[in-house]
Amino acid sequence: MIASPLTRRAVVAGGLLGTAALSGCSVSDLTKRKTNDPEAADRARLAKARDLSLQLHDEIVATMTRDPRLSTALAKIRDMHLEQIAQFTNSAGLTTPRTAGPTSAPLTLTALPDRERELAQTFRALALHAQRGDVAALLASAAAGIDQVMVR
Amino acid sequence: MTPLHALIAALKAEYAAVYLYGLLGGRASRGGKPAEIARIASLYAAHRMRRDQLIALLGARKVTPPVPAVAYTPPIDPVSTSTRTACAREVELRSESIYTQLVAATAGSERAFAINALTSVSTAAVTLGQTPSAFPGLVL
Repeated sequence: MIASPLTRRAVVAGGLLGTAALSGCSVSDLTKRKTNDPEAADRARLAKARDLSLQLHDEIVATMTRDPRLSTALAKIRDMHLEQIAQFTNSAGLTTPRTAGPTSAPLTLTALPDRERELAQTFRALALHAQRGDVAALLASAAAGIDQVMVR
Repeated sequence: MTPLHALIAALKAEYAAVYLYGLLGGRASRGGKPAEIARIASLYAAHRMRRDQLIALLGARKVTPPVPAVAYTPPIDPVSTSTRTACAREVELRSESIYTQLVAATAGSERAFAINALTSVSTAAVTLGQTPSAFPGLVL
């Protein structure tokens, strides 16, 4: 979605993101140093949304593993996160695999709604400041998607 | 789409929503259950509030808002509780699309309004029976 004719600056930004992913350092740290590049800033917003989604996804999977009776109820939420992770990755042109660890702690059931609300709120904040309209719409829609699945 | 066009499109959608919820409320008042009437009243009030906020946003741009149409055709003939619910759901789904476009077209306080509106209408759609989506309002 964010894909556009590559400028030299975009190529450099893409290289920075790839380097960050391979070295394990924070993408947002890199883009903070390059805040005058709106394209890179939006990629960092999508990368942040992807990483936060991955983290919560892994915690949900850990919860399902700990208590299989919750699997059916949590599968819809897990699947939504997977869809959003894929779209964020694709839209930002990220090629990195997961950055969240495989040893995430399970959630308590009372914590899950709070964590989902917090993630939706973060998406809305990222959407508000996105430079590109399509990135803003994607993030705002993802926040609404979280709200939808929690209502259901 | 320019911010102004997106704001006007959203206002026109809210004019239609307010009209249609008025129609649904009138139909529900003749035989509908209290819970249905209360739900329609609540959604009617929410759309009226957003309509007024959109008029204010256009006013802040020194733009005279368009006037509403005399009448709007419901997407589904609202003859029963189930068809009224389907009609309301369709209104909310149209609103999701409109507000996603408004998010994309605007910035600052106008975008903040659009983000909140998108959240409200997409939640309303689910309470009316819509299946949750990872990206409501977007065709990916």
